[in-house]
Amino acid sequence: MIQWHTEKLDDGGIGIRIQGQDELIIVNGLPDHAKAEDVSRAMMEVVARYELKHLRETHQEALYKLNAAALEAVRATVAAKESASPPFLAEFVVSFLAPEKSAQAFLGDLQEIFHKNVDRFGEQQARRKYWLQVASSVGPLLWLWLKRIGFFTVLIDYFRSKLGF
Amino acid sequence: MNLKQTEQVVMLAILRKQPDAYGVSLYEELEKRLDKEIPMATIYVTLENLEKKGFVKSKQGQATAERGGRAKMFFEITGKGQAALNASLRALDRLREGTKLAGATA
Repeated sequence: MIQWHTEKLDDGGIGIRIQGQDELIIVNGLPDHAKAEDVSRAMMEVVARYELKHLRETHQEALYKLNAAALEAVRATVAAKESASPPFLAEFVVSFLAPEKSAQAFLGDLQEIFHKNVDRFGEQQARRKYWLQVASSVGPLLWLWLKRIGFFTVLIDYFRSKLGF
Repeated sequence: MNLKQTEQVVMLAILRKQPDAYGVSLYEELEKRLDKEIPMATIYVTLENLEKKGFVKSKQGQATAERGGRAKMFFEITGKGQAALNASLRALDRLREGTKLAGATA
């Protein structure tokens, strides 16, 4: 609640001084011998206008602050998204096991999904999902890798030589 | 040459996503249509097998920043692949013809 008091000016007008403010609001146009309630009504109107102006300014200020905070939050999210990267160790496992021809495309696909997940669930969850994706890929990739390096041929040859058939 | 079920579904996904059939689009299409997650490696291993058989061919796309500068690999089905898929699906249809499944709507 704004506190105010009135003061009689030299020219016969009435001034209102609002507490905490140096501003002096001058009310003119009151009859020479205005009744006390007329003066009081005029004062209340001035104070109400002042309060409204003050409220608008406060409201405007709050809006600016809200805007700035929202902008900051968006910037922080974008920065976090840009700096988010898939787990290095998981990438290494995939690059080691994936066929040379498709390894880069495969890692690129995993990274694309990772960034989509960062947008949807946040970085921590996205990293967890990346690890799950890699864990479920190890079996098929390992199988392909063993076939590629001829592991099974070597194994069969070994048992053939050992068992003599 | 017979196709495995995984090969069938991956080839059908390629047909659905052409000309934008690459790892992520195939992964999302399979997840949406089959209502389950297929590991990305399973898709790639299947694609590698299909390419070896001459049913699918791949070409390198452009590298993008969101993929860490790695290029996409686009896939398309060859004529031989289409014939094999057609034969495989027809065989399945013949097998299915006349059978009655409880709760089936088609």
